[in-house]
Amino acid sequence: MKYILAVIYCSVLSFANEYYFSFNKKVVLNKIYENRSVDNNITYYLTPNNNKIGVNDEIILQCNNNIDCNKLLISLNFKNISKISNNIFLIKLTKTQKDNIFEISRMLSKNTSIKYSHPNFIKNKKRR
Amino acid sequence: MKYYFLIFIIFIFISCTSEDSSNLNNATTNNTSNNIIENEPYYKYLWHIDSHNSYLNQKGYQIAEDADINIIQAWEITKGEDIKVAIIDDSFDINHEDLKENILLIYNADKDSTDVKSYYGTSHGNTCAGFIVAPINGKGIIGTAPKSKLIAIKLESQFDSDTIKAFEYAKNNGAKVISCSWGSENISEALNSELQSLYEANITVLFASGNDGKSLDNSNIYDESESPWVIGVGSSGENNDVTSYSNYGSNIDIIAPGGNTEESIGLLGIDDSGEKGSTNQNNFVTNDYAFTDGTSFATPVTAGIVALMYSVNNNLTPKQIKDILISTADKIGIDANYIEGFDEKRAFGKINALKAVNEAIKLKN
Repeated sequence: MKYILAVIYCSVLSFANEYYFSFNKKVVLNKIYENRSVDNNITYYLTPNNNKIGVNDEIILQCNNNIDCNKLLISLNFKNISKISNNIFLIKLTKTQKDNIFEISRMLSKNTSIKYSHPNFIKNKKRR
Repeated sequence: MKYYFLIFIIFIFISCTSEDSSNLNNATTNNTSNNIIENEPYYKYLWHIDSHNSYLNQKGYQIAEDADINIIQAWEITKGEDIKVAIIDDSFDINHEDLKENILLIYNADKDSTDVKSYYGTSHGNTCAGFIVAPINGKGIIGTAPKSKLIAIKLESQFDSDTIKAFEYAKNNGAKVISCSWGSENISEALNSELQSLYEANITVLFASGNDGKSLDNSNIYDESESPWVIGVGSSGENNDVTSYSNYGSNIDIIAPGGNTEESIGLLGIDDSGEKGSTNQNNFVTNDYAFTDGTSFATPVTAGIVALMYSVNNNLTPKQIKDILISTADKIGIDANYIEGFDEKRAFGKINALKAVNEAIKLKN
């Protein structure tokens, strides 16, 4: 019985939705199971509004004013850090970290020195 | 012989002097400049520029008398001289006859290169660019800021980081206005933060509201055009009212001509297919041009007006720019219900170029 419950628990976990925080609001994402084709490094999800967004192995974040963001990220053991604007940084995760990208994003968001943190989303920008 | 030569020189001098002085004040100049504008081959189709007694009415299209944006007189004050306007879009044809002389910089944000051409046959960015910077050069159409300069930024990548890189390029190269005719309905905190930093750097960013005819006041939609750091632009049509396809909502600021090809003729712009031509020439124009519609084009039309405002008062803040556009807008629409100046579908009304430029001047003094 214990084994059956464990299997059920693992199955539930494997189909669990991911989530992140946007403007202090929890956003739940439904994973899209697609045939591997274009880029194995990207996983796609549906937003509550049925917009498709992709996630790879990068996190985008901004530190609060007066924080040395580069120094902070190094202290948190991130290795691959790049600055993309005056105060916005990009972290490339390792292969082992990549599977936990949402968890790492949330962990960073909770850091009081960090203004926001979320995966470097791939979004469908429609011409209008 | 010497005397004849001297008399000739004096005659030339007097001619030049009298022409210069007449250029300063009197109506002759206005007529002259208007004549030049009107000599643009397709001026007669540009109802968003001049809708009065439109030639298109003779061709069976119903163009409302006041469908334009009152820009002819604004051009007597400024044509956006040397203001740098960036467009972030899919691609650009930098050799187009009605663009090339006003292109200042090109940049590919995806590849960090200068390759901005299209590899898919169409170039949405080209059409957008024409509505701002198409010069008065005896060819094709006229942009709303025909003496402004274009920073053409190609962005096809869908990554937030590349989008931010595109905006950074515009900022670092002196753009005062950034026109964006796209959106995701799902702006990220990172992009919103970048837009805030541009706002604080006194750069005005405009976004198109979209073409689904729907309200953006939905808890699951947070579109780029709704960001407090940008000017959200909807679309008006040939009938001088909001178009049925224009997205709307409490965070959209203004509407401007975007045309309606289904109900009328649309806006005439640079063809997105380049010389190959699309199907929207209506037997009026060559393959380099086409009639089109969308909030995509209402946005650059407005961005050009912002460039005109900066050219008369370079110290305006984005907040002042937005406030002026809103306070000088024409309250259009027969069924409109403006409450405290705002109508649900028409936002604060349709842009009025002359009034906006005059207000920008007043704030300088």
